[in-house]
Amino acid sequence: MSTLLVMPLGQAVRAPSDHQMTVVVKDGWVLLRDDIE
Amino acid sequence: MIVSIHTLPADQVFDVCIAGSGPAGMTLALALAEKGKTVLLLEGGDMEFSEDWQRLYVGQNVGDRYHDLDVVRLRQLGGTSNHWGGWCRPLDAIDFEYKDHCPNAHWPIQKSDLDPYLDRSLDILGASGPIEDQRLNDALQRIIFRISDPTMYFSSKYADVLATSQNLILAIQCSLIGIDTDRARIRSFRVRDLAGVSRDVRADVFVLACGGIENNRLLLHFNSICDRALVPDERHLGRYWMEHPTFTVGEVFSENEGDEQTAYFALTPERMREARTLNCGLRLEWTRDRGGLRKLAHDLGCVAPKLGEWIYRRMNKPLICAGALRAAWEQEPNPDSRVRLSADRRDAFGMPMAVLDWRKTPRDISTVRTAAIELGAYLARADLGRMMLHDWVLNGGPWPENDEFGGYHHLGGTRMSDGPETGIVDHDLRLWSQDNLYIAGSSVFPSGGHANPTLTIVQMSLRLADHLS
Repeated sequence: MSTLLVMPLGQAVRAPSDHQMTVVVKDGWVLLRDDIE
Repeated sequence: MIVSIHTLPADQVFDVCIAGSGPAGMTLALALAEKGKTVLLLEGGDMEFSEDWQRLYVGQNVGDRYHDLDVVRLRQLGGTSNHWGGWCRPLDAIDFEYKDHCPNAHWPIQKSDLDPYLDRSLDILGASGPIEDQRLNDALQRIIFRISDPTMYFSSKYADVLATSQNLILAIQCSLIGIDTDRARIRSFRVRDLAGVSRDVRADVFVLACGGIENNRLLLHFNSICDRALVPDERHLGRYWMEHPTFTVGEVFSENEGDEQTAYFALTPERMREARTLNCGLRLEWTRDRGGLRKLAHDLGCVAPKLGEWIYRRMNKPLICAGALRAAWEQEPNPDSRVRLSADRRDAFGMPMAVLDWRKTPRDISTVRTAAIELGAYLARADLGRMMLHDWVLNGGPWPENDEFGGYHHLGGTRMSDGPETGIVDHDLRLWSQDNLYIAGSSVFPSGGHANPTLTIVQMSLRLADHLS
């Protein structure tokens, strides 16, 4: 896995108040966007 | 009283004759005896493990990778529960409900039909106590398992009761090899020991409780030799066979694992419906393996340098830990996943061996993927840790070749249904076409949820005992 995926997740993730709290899956890791930007 | 085939009472017509002394059969037998019924409990093995009897469980696997069929079952008093792990949790309400995204995964009864038997079942299994799940957000809940501690074994717990009971007779080394039916009612079971001695036993009511593979094998075989008298429409017989796929799906690190060695999670019903998944149980198992932690930190550092640095700064302090993410989940009921009879291999009694063609579906990976990502998201957003999922989970396969595969949970094949055109037994576990033949145990499960099945098996046997009383 090397692609960056934005997954449709639960309510907290579907409507994040903070862009940096969006959950992404990258190289197998379930991360916050803030972790990689 | 405990007897052999030589000392079976001659000419007695029992109220109920039950084949199989595992959790389903023994729970039913004890409950019926307590209600004053005369019961004959047949065990097709010995009081303890015996290679000679166990050999009757040899079969073939022709589907997805699985364990040998004489390894995942035990043919002795207490049945396969002799290697039970002690995990208890009832099925969830959603497990019984109709789901338009998976129309075969529902029951003709509801959770409320089994709830009255929950406390007594937990007591029988030595696992009494509250089961109070904790909702973490709209998508995820932390769930509770009760653990039988020390692990309760039916064979040892009830040996004295069986030996002294007045109206319950346990007949050991009596393997069920035939059924006599007038097409509407069973007249007798034929049993045989390994020396070739046979007897016919009579009762008003008969119950098959031989386990989630053997119930299928026996019914398929008996149906074939009595011209489909037992199951006239056998399109579904042996089909929709399920396990709980059980695999390591990822790894986790956390700043603090808390006080517990293991934590359990599942999706909420709302999230399952929305994501069109089935049920999935996740468990985090913490390890003190610092080597594994370093590798995990290295991998994460390549993807998220800021996080990698954060971990390395704490690496030599007991502040962070690593864990495996394990999952055991509900398999989509699949008509192509089935037990059938071997065309050319027979057991010591000349009966066709079981052939297991276990087949999982793409939904079986999407279910665990959705649940695992939801847990990973929760951990990340709460800043409790980060999770890495294995490639096969994210890519949709291929399935790992070296793992647990399943929980030795054999479900389906003689499924409970709303009518004879969709299953084998009715909501009281009676065969649709027979007045007095019932099936007990997990082979009647139309779907499996993710919970270990023993508790539900016991609940259903207590319910069947009420029905037969």
